[in-house]
Amino acid sequence: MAQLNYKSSLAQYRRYLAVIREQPMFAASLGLVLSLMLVIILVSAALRPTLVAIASLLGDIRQQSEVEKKLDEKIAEVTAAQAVYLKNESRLKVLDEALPIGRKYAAWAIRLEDVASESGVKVAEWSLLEGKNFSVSLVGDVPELKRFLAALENLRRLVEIESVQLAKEKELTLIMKGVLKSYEEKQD
Amino acid sequence: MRKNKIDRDIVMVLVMTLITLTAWVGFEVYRAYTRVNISPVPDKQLLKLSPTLDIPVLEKLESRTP
Repeated sequence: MAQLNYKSSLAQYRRYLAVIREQPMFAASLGLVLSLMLVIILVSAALRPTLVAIASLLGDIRQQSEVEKKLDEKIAEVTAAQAVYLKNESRLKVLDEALPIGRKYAAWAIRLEDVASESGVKVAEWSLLEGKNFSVSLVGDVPELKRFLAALENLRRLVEIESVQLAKEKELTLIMKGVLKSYEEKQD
Repeated sequence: MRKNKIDRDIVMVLVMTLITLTAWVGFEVYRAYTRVNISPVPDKQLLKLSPTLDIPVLEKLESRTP
């Protein structure tokens, strides 16, 4: 009985194929639909991950090339700077004297006292705020004070003079306020 | 006639699906290309450095009293 059913359905299928063959339009559209479905499956399952992986790798290569280029430039600059540094190494100690690392107030104060005694003026009062803002009162006559100011102006250590005041009481007094410069302050 | 119309509709849907899929793949590819995947290098390391030394300033400082 089952064999009979099988035969009848085969005959039915043959009849169906014969009808299909007579309708080429239907056959063509079936092929088109199947092709489109295959393309959709291939694009979503195979082509998309591949293209995304390739684009991701290309993006990585591009970004790494940019960083590499910048780092190469930096290395070239550091090498050039090292050559310049080695050439002028012995001269760079003047920079430490002009703009020392750390405030080094004491060394400057001793130097200022030396300059004052060389100029003939007397240091009457010293004060220091936050390790950098200073105020100093000096007593002497005009030529001595002028000599002191000229010597101070020619000192290597960088000092910003904010105000200078001359007062005449018993003796002529010069009150000078300023800021002592150091490398840390520049970094801030 | 009705069969042909159904076929045409199916083809239309599939073509639209393919166009959408292509656009999606295009955007995905663009996003993957522009996404930052490498670990960032600190800006401090990439900062430009001038290898020149201001010699006249050094000379000026040398001429001053220590």
